[in-house]
Amino acid sequence: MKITLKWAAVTGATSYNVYRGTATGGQAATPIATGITSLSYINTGLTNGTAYFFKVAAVNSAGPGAMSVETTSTPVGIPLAPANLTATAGNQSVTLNWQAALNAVTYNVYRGTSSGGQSSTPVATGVTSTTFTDMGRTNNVVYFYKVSAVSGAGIGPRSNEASATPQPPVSPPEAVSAEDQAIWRLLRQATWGPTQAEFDRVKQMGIDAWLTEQLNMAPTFWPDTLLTQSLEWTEEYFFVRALQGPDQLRQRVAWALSQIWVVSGVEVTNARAMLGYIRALDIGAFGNFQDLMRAITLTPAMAECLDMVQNKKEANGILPNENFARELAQLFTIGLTELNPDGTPRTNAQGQPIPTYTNDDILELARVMTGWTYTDGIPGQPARQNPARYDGPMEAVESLHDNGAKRFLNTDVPAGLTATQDLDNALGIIFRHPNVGPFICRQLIQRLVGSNPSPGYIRDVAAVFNNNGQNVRGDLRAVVRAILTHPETAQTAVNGGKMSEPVLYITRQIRDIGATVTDTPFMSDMSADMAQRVFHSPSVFNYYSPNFRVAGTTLTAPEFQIYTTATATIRANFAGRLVNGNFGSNVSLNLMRWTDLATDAGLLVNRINRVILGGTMSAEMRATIVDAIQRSPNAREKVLTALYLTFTSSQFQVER
Amino acid sequence: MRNRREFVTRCGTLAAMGAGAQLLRLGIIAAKAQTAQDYKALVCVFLFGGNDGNNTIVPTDSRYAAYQAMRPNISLAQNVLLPVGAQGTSYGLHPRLLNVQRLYNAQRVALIFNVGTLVSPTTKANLNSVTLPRNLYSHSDQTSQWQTANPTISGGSGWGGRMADILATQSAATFPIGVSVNGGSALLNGNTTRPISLMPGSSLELERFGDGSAMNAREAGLQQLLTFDTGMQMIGAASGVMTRAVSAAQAINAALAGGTPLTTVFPNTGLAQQLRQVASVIRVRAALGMNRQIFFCGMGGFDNHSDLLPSHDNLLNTLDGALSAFIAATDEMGVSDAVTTFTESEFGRTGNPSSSNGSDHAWGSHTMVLGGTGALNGGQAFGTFPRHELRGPDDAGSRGLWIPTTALDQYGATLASWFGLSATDLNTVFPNLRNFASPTIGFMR
Repeated sequence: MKITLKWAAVTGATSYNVYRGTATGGQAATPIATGITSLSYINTGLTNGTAYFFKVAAVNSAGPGAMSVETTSTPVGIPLAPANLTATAGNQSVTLNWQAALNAVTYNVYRGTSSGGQSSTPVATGVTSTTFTDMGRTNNVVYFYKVSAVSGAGIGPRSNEASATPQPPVSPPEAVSAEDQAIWRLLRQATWGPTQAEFDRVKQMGIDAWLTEQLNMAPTFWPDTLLTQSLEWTEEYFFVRALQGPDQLRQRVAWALSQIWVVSGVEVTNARAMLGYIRALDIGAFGNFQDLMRAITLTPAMAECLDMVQNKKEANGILPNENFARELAQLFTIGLTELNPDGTPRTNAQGQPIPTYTNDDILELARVMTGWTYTDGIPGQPARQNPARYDGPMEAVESLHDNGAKRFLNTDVPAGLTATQDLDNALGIIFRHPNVGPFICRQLIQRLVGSNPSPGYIRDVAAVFNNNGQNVRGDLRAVVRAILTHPETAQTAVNGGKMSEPVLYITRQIRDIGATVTDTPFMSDMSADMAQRVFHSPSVFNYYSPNFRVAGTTLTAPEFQIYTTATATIRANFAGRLVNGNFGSNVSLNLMRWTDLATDAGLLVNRINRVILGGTMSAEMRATIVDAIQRSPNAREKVLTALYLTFTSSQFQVER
Repeated sequence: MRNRREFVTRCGTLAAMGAGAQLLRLGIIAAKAQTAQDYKALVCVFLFGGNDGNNTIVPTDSRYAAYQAMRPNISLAQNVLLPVGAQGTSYGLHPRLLNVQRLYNAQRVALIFNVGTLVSPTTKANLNSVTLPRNLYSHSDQTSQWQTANPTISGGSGWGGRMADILATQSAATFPIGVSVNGGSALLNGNTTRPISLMPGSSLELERFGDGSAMNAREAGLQQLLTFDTGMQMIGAASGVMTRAVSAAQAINAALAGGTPLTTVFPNTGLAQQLRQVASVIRVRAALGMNRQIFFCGMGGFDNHSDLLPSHDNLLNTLDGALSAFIAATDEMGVSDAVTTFTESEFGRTGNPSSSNGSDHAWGSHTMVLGGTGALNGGQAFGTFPRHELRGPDDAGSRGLWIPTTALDQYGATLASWFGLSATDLNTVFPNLRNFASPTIGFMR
């Protein structure tokens, strides 16, 4: 609407005239202003957008002199608001960008620390480009910006608001070396969850020495006080041991075996009985499989669970109980169909699997398993069935044992064997069945390493089961070492890895965070909510089948049998409650050891990738978590965000 | 101990709730309003462990003597059995099935005799020449086969899931047709559709905690992480489950929050609480836009190798109470004729007792179907009752392993036909059905 003219003084001038036109050289002879005594003139009332052409003449008593050279200008209005303001956080800075506004000559920048809270005084004026970097900001504070355009006509309205939170620089990803990845992976497969401290030990000792140490470590005790308490305390103590006990590998193997030789608290509610079984597993985990077979068979817990206790020879048309005989064969040792040494099924001429045994075999084997009762605590064999008692293995009552000749698994058993001889003979026949190695080794691999071991992996481990190198069959220590040192522990195939079973899902998080467990952590109910109440499998068929397949796929994934929409939600909510500190002082999170890195999302995520994911975090996962960290307002929230997103991620839940 | 445990558990919950539990607004599902005029639901109650059918339904005519002689130490006295008439003679239900007896007499229960897994009609004469179901007498295999109706392969999709595959193509509903309230269920896994699993007492809601804006970032991040394909099948499968949970959460939670809650009182047993959850989902069928639903519930403990009589007493008491409450709930909702409940169990048990006063794994057994008189031919028994004779004409072995006279396929197809499947579809869902002369056996109208 206006144009301001300025000119240099002319010697002798008493005033000045201003001439105007709308085309070059088109000034009217009549000045638009006369008698101007200053050296400037503001011409108002013009039409915006029209170019005006001016000349000036100096005037003295003789009249106007010659006109000056021409100058031109186009008046502009108040500028419009700049559009599409964006704010990008930098380190102690925020960079703004916006679209040029009509009529803008320069721009003003306004800043606040709340939405709509910009001060009326601009933090920058005279900005001539459409970008501006606001330096000297405080990191992790949210800044809210608006921009106005300025022209000769004044200051225009403010732009949209944009906000950003200056962040320290995000450190780049830090690769975890192949050697270190192997150690983290070993700790995922051999412990209840890797910790930085255990990693450092393995790194120092070497994998081989660490395995040797673990394989020779005595079992952590179960306190005798548990014997007389409710079984629930034993369940809780399971987590105390898992989270703190040094015998991590032994515990993992014992727990794996407990999912093959299943005894369930649904059937056995007495803690002393259950602990007898659990201690037998602890010891048997690194012993010989045949000894384990015998020890577990004679525990009152197994005997009650599968009805071998008080089982007796046929009388009055009542036959020996088939329960233990059947599951001993089907679940604990040889399985339903004949296997090749690499665990693949043997097939007949019609391509059909070959049953390992017939129903008649089970009836015969049931006759072996007769004549056993509870101990009476007195040396020597009892003469009759004893009442329930749980402080020792079962004892034989010869008069109730079926000592007739038997035939099962194509093997004849002579008449006249005592109950003990008959049992040992039968367990030996089963133990020597070629199925045992591949059948048991596959499941141990599934529990420790991955759900889909290749035939080669099974073959290699089963070979060690069949012969540990010193002509000993069933050496579980050698088997466990073979499992954990096999190249396939890397689980790089597309079907690699395994879904964390609930117990491990819990212990990994607590150990990975580096939480301190000062007392009973009360995790048993949490695990039960995720469909795995420890020592309470719903039946002898464990929480899941080793052959369970993800629906609609050929992917074997046992733990997915209990990973449903319901339990997936419960697991995510557990992770949230854990990191948020809802489990109280018994699980002390020590988040300090994570918040120290919260000023740099990159470093925080790098540590998570290393300690929690062992170097397996994908680039896109990293980017997602970094972004969410940056949108979390303070150190604690940043750590909660990072841990929650990690623990709920499929990349964490699937161990590999 | 129990108090302390409950206290700790509740603390965990309350703290999270206090932080502001909200619906996670992800994967929004548009609930399609739909009339419930053509609504039907099937409810499977699986009795895990192998229910002893011999003591569930006992002949009380002249055959009672053979029953008692067959299992002297585990037989039920004739005078405690609950009399029901069927097939022109008399039977007795287990004494704990009082409500089942009442409902049977009201034509709301049908009994199906000697149902089991079969590949084709099987008799003592052809027992060694026909193809038999794989791994008879094995819990895991028979449990699977009762749900897959595919007894010659290991695993595979479930017959309820294959029904859902077909029905899903005829329905605009986006909520899954299959709903398990008993964890994972082979029955409901289709080839193209997946069930949803709900847990009584727990919702599919992701709890919020901490700072609100940070929680928003966490929710968005969680959802984004589920979309990443790492190329690892296991990770993809895990993300698939969680994605389904997130997708269904809003629809089911919003639906359950509406309308009038049921007043029917359910016993405080596992099965009854599962059936209560089933009823609660049926209640909001219109809000979910469903016109067909298949539910899976179950209870364990039926593997009574020892102490059958006291154990079975407790189990059937639980079953009776749960079924009775559920039928009352269907009445309350006015869907008696639309909801049909049926039992399955992996096998029956030996007629001959085992040491420790139990019974061992066998084969064919009896089932029950419950529903409304408009849908069910209740107050009757179907199929052929086995002859209680060890090594007799119906025994596959020496201990009373009854060779089924009705195939699971026929049992399921009768339910599926009522559900609206065509004859062609029945053969798709039950691949061995064509081996049997009568695809359906008449217990549904």
